[in-house]
Amino acid sequence: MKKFLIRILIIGFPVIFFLIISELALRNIPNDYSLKREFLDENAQNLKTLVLGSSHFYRGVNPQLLEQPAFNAAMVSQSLDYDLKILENYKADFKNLEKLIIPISYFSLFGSLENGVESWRAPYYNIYYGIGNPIKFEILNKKGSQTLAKVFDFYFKDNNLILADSLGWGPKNVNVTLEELQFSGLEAAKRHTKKKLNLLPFQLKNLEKIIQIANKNKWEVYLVTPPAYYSYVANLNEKQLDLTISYCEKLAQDFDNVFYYNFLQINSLEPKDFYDADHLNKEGANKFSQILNFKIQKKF
Amino acid sequence: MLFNSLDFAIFLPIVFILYWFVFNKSLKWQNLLVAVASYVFYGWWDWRFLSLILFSTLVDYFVGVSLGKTEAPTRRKVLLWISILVNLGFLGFFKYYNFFLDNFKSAFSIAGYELNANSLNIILPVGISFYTFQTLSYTIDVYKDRLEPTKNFISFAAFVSFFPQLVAGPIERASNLLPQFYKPRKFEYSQGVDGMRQILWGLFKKVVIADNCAVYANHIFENSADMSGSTLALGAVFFTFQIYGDFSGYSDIAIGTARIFGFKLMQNFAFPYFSRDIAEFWRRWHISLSTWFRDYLYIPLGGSRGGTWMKVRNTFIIFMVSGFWHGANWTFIVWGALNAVYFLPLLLTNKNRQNMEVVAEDSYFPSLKEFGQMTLTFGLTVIAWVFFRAENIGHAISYLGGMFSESLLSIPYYEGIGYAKFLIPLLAIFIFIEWLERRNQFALEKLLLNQSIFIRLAAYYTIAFLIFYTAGEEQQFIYFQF
Repeated sequence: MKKFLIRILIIGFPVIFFLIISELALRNIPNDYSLKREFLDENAQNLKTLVLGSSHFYRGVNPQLLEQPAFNAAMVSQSLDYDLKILENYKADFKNLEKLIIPISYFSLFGSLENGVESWRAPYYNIYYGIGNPIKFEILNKKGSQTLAKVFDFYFKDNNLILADSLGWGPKNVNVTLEELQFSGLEAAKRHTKKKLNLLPFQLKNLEKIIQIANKNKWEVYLVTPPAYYSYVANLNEKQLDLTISYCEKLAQDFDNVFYYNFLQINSLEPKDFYDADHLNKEGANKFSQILNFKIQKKF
Repeated sequence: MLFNSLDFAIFLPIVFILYWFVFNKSLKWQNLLVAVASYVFYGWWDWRFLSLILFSTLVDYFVGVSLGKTEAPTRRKVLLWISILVNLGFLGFFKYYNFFLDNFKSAFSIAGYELNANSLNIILPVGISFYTFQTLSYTIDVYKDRLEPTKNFISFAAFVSFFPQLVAGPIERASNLLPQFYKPRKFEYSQGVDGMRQILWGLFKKVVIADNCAVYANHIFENSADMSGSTLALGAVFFTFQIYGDFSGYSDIAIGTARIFGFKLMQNFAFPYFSRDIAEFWRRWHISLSTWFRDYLYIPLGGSRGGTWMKVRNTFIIFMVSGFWHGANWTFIVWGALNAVYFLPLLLTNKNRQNMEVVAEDSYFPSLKEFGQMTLTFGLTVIAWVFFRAENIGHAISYLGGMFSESLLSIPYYEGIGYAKFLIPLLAIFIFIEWLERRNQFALEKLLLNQSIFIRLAAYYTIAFLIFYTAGEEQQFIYFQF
């Protein structure tokens, strides 16, 4: 037994050592999550406007065009339950916060990060935001080949992995053809249409908790359905869309500090403002951010 | 808990240390630890289903004890049926309720009647088919007086729930595994090392072979309407290796894990893709299930003793039930029936036992005839797997229709196929290693034993690196759904 254990330990040691080094090397690479955490750790107390939500706002809202100081804490596939986790984590620090802007997209009330195709991002909140279970390893989250490539790219090729700017906005400077918009609209609508609506009570509860936190701290909550190209809108399920809109309208009615704006079919945006049917490109995001800011300022 | 997870990597050493260093003085405590660890292992998925295992264990334990106390045939029969009905009742409800309901509804609606019954939202308990068959083997063997009933509840509970093979086999016979819980176990260095090697090889098969084949197989099967015949054939071959790597990999990890705890489980796979006919394939594929059906279904039905009609009937029954065991879908039943069709000519011409030894036992290469036989058998298996993998019968037929079209001779292509360039040579190396070691229990058993420690270590580290390099998010084992 002694011989067996000693040999296992000797043989296993380089493997464990290699895994630990890989994990540490990965964690040391700055990314959008670590950038957002660092910003919030240092500046949460100064913020007046905070943007949460999924890629629709990570790509689509430029915080520089909102009431300052503002920060975009949205991330790809970040669902309402994760918005709530971020808020709960920083609520004591948001001493000057006035406005909370949350996208309520067509899928927001019916999906969650952990149940979606981007579920591999969930451990990043544990690792980089310090939210939830701390015993998560990034090396277990991706293929070893990807780990090695990422480490190599950063340490040996000086490739930066941060896509967002210093205020958390991740613009995409891409223009696409009308055919591509048609195709991506159909695909995204299919992807976002849920067969089961069983997550609705869960996400509604999360949204209500967000509103309660906002109430307590006297923040205004702006629920916003983001703009999309018509090929996306035309292929949405009516029931799912109606539910989304009616719940938001009801919340806006029930709470004095909640406002709802539906930009799903906004006329002032053109095809050239989108990089796919449900995401704005850089130019579109700037236009939309100005429109959004105008609405919020005027409160109509 | 998945074998290829961090949870298991932590769980296993803890149980190992408790087993050999803390509870090693008492067999009873060691068995209790195995039972408790097995319940933790199983409860990690869904603790609610622990009650099912516990209930099956209690029923079969008391049925066994009662069978030991009575000679009255009627009473014994009643006891046996209690066990069968409870076990198959659970299995039937959780696995087949919706299937039968939907099919009854369809049948009635064809006849012009509308049946007003709704499908239930039932979660299938992981591994229920495996432990149900394992515990049933105990009751049947006790009923047939082939096994003494146990009075040791802890040993019996540990036997039913033994964590290495609880959720995906090998389906152990009580006559093999249960007595191992009665005898004190001593750690043997060679067994421990053998076990670790088998675990490593099992992980390689699962993570490197199966999970990577799955990526391509899934893509091709999910988009089969847009693929050429040759691409569909490639997809079917990828699935053929996926299911082998996945399931035999699990078995290897299970057998290796049991071995480091001093248990010897039965071999579940014996290099089935080197079979020269379908009968040989079924002697080498999922051996624990094939032999279970042979002993508890085929032979009681009369086996091959009757006339031609009986042979045909029994063959179809055993293959179709075996297919249905895998899942409540017509695709599995057709998969079983297709294998019966492959098997029957051999049975009817008494050629089903002609290839009992390992292929090319005394040489490095097979003869041309053997190579042809292996290729044909492999091809037939690939076609059958299409039914196993397809969403429904229509999908399988359109897949095979597309596969056997003019484009079968074109060069396989789909967007992203370039990444398969890494996998194809890896598969070739895998097949080569398996071929070299086809006489052994598993490929790493004796492969490197005569090499120096440096070569052995280099090989183990290479395998470990490949596992790391290709491993991604934890992937479920296919057979968990059965």
